[in-house]
Amino acid sequence: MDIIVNNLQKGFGGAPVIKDVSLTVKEGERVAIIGPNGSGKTTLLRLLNLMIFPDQGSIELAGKKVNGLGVKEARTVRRGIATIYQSHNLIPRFKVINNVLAGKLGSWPTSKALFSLLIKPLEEAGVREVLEKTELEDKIYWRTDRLSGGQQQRVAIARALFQNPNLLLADEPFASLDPRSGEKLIRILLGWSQQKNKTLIVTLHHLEFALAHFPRIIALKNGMVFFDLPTGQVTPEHLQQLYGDSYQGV
Amino acid sequence: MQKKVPSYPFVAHPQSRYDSTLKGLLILGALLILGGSYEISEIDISLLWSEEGASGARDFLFGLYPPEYSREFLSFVIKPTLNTLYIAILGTLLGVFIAIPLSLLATSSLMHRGIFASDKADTALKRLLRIAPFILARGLLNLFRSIPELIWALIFVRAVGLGPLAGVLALGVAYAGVLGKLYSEILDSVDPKPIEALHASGATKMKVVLYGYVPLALPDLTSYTLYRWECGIRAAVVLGFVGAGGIGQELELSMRMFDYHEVATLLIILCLLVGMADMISGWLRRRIV
Repeated sequence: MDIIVNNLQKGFGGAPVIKDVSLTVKEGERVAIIGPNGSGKTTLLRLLNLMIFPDQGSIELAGKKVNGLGVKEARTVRRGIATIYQSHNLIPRFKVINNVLAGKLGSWPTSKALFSLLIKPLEEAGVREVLEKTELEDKIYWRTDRLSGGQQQRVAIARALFQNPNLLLADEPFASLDPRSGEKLIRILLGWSQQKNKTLIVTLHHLEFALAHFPRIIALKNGMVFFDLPTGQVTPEHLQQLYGDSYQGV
Repeated sequence: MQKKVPSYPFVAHPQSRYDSTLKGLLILGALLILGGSYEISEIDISLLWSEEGASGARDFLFGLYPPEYSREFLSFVIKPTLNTLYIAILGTLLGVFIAIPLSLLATSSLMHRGIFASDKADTALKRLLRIAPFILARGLLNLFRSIPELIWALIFVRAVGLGPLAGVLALGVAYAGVLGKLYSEILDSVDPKPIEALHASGATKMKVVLYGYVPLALPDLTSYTLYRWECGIRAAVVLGFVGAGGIGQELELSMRMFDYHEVATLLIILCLLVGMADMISGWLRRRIV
């Protein structure tokens, strides 16, 4: 999905969190968004997945202007966008399969959703396929809150993949995981994007991850784009300036 | 240690020295209200020890023993006992069915606050359309709740005549008010993050309710409903006093005939019913939580 963002501004009553952001992302690109706490990364993602709408500026997704859309149209656009969160945001008491199936809720009629929830989970084969990618196939009928934090995040990833989106957003998806599991999961997301030529945008705390895996880095600072560079051109000086004194090198 | 960035706008509440002043004022206010209500309600505890009060209570208490346990009476009370149980079950069930749609409309995070309301295209008319059903549902629930079930029973006894049906309807309407308010508060307090995740994937509100709100709130929803059912058994007895059937009606008759032995038996049955309800709901609660 092509993304064109122009002069975006968004606030929540106080000073704007996003002051002035413009950027263009092409279909199939893999982009890491970095920046200090409070730089507006999460807000930018929530603008991109239409959870909130900008005060000023415009967002174009796949050639369509999406700010100012009505409730129904916005819902249709959201179906094509999957989001992974820092805390997995699953339903703890659901079986894994039902949490994964929730990814398709947008395209399922209510009657089908109800049947699948109360009578018998549908599309089991499809769920197995994505759970195989996240190596959780054997846990398909487990209650989700019986899994470890890392496993739950893998369920959340499976849910996002099952949605079969054109754009995958992830907001600090590995912040609460150990680096090894994070590494593994990031490869799943990158592999998916590469294989299907679909857009992947990830905000990341771990600079090493961003630099090691993503061809393009966008840095936000104080609600503005601080730099937007191919990874090869990002220098330690850039990062020093971005993070100030808290930067300790990679 | 990295500080977590709040993803929602939030207001900080710094501890200030005004807090302790405020606390003092609140405590003072509470004491004043307590003292005032003692004065106004004309409570006179000494009445309990007065000659008149004491002898009345003594007669009643000593009259209770022994409970009436003749086979004739016991077989006679089976039907009213079952009636009370039915009134409680059907009344609570009716309450649940009325409460479900009203509570959804009365849940602010589904109607006019939070992520579902952030969609742009907000005109004054649209805002009004969004909040009108909410206010209507809240108003209706308040109406159901403010009128006690006893008054509802008097109304329904006039409408459908003496008997269990009036009890069921009275309990249903009154409990719809209580349950509806509780449901909407429970739904409003679920973790908003899984809700946002479902909403973000393009699910409609109804599907977010089914796959988000309900499973997240299920333990609380069932436990309050079961608790209300227990209350319903006691309430069903009281409703019997105004002619809505069940052991309440028998209790009232026996009391009026000063047959305290029968009263004792009926009270024992009531205790058993409530105890049984407690056991059943405890078992159900353990299974669901």
